[in-house]
Amino acid sequence: MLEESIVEGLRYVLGESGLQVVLRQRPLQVLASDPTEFHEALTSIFKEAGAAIIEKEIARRLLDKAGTKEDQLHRSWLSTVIIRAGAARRVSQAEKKALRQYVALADLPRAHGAEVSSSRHGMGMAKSIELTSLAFADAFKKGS
Amino acid sequence: MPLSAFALTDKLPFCVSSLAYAPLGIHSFGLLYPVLTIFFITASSVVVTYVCAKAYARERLLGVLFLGCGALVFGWSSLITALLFGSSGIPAAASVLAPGALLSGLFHLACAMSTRLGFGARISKGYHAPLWLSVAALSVVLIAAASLLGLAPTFYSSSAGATAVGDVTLVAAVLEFGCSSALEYSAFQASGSRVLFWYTASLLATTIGLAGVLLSGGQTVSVAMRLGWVALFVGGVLLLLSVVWAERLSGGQLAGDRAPGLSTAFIISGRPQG
Repeated sequence: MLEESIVEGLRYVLGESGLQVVLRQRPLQVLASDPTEFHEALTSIFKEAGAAIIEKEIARRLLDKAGTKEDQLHRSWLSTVIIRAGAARRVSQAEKKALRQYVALADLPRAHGAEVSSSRHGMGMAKSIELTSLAFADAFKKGS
Repeated sequence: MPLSAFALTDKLPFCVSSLAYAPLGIHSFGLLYPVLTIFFITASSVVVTYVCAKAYARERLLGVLFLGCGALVFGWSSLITALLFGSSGIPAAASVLAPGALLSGLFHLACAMSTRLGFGARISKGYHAPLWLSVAALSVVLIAAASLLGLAPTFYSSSAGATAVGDVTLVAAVLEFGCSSALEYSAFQASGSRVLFWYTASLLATTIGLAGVLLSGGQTVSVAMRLGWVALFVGGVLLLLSVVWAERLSGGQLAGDRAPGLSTAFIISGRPQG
């Protein structure tokens, strides 16, 4: 149930490609069995604020599946987050879009394959170009 | 600092100003004309095309793809024009510049219509970027080949100057760039985006530049021709400035391990400021 909720929540917020990016960082079994590891995996990509948004969505789904039986839950962060998630709204389009920008960044080093070992400067440049192109496209979106 | 090389482009307008007198004797400067073209137009078009291809890959905006194609066509046809100008003479150069400008103007007009009027604003999937960019690059190659092989119509005659075909083609190109500029200005007013502002200014400068070439009647020593080329150089710089501005919006303020360039408001709202 937890694994399902994690997959569904990540897919809902980040899309299929975002889900794959996260799962490439840590296998699903690891994420489901170790909440700390899961939280660290999310914060490494989305920072604390972004991770909280995703965790709320996962917790909301888990809550739907499990009803209100909190005694079924033995996860430290889940027990906190799930209470908040009960009244939480769904993740907005803007939040999803912003978090997907993080996924795009997280995926960059892998997209270059053999260039993973390249210098931090090179990766910074690649990210910068990626973000420049996003801002450039955004300007044209706003113009329409 | 990410893309710190771009910071140099801040100084480019001043460089252009100081070089404004160079075209006054450009036909006798040998390699100066191609070098200036590479520096101010072609290099800019390469950067813009690359950024547009990346932007299209992420956001699937057809307008951005057309902009990349237009920049590619104009950048490379200008370079070939500059090279032919010294080696093969004005008729060969004119037969590349005029159709290149016409085709580039068409792409920029498609971009402006897509941006402002929402025509083909977003497409879901496909391999349009490589296809369109390849078509644009191939067009430049075909235009250059037709010019070198003598298959192109006569745009400029050594004895009579610019021909009717040349004039009509340049007028059409000027109209395309002018209309694109007007539409993009309208988009800039709607959005307030500085990226669109610089792009609009670039289109306007290119319009003025092509109008100068048109008004010169192909006389390389005329002031209109020389000022026209300066305007084209300025257009290239302004086009690059639109990318520089996007880079500033995205990455200028933040660095390090945080998502570079995404301000907190951008993360939450999905919108960069400016």
